[in-house]
Amino acid sequence: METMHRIRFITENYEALQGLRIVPIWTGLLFVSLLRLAFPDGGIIRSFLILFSLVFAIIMTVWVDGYYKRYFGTVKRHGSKVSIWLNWIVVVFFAAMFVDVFLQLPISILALIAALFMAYLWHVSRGLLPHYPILAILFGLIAIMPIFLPTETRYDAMQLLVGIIFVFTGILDHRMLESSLHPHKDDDDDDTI
Amino acid sequence: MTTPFEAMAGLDRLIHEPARLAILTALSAAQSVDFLFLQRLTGLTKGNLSTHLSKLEEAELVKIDKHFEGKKPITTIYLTTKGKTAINNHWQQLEQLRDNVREWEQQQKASE
Repeated sequence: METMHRIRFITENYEALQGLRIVPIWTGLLFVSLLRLAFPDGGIIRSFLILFSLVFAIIMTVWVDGYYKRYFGTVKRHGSKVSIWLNWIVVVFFAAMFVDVFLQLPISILALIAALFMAYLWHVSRGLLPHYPILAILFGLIAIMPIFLPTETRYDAMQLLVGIIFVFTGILDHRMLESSLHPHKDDDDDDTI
Repeated sequence: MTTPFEAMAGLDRLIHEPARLAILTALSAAQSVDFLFLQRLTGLTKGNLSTHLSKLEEAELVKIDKHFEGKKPITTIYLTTKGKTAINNHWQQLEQLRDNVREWEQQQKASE
């Protein structure tokens, strides 16, 4: 029964577990935050480095997509379920972002929702994502960070921390996926039956 | 009331074989999957997986589509409507069986 739960969970959440997909873009955003904090006055070098890191992140994302297709295979999910979920997640996250930016509350609603979301994902995985409770706690801590940070550097500092968390999350999700699947054999070019 | 052993004998062996149960369970969680994913998920060799898929295709539980992406052959596997019904019924039977075993164990303990 446990094995079958694992099989069902991996198949249903296959794309979300391809953690390396989020690593390049979050590394890029992390680098952008670092640059903004290091060069607060801007300048051509900062603009060039920001552009370079974003282009590099996009190229790496495309490469990672190919890597997963080649070595892990492809799963097409049930379309309707995904779109309903994604719509709700996008609406909730944008609403939270709106509240954070315009109301300037002493706590970040976006980080708080992210913390609850991580706890929920851990719950539905029935223990298959053991690192998610830690993520929930970290996001909970980020949620109260606005109390301690000056307004002008608040968002860059928070984005920097969120970037670091997501890079590690991506790597751990990938490791979880890798350890749940059997090793890839190199004679897999002959993909016929 | 049938004993759990009688109920177990009534399970469809085509579906209940562990590798095929794993394949059908994975397929029931997605619209389609490719051969490579199933191979990595189940740990079966290419030949073994092919044999199981052929049996499932013969029973009309899965549909197999072969096409090329560039020069690379891609095999995509779908669950048919018959397959969806079969795997859902099978899981219901297994859940029922688990409940029956618990009930039967309690009856055995009570009669001792």
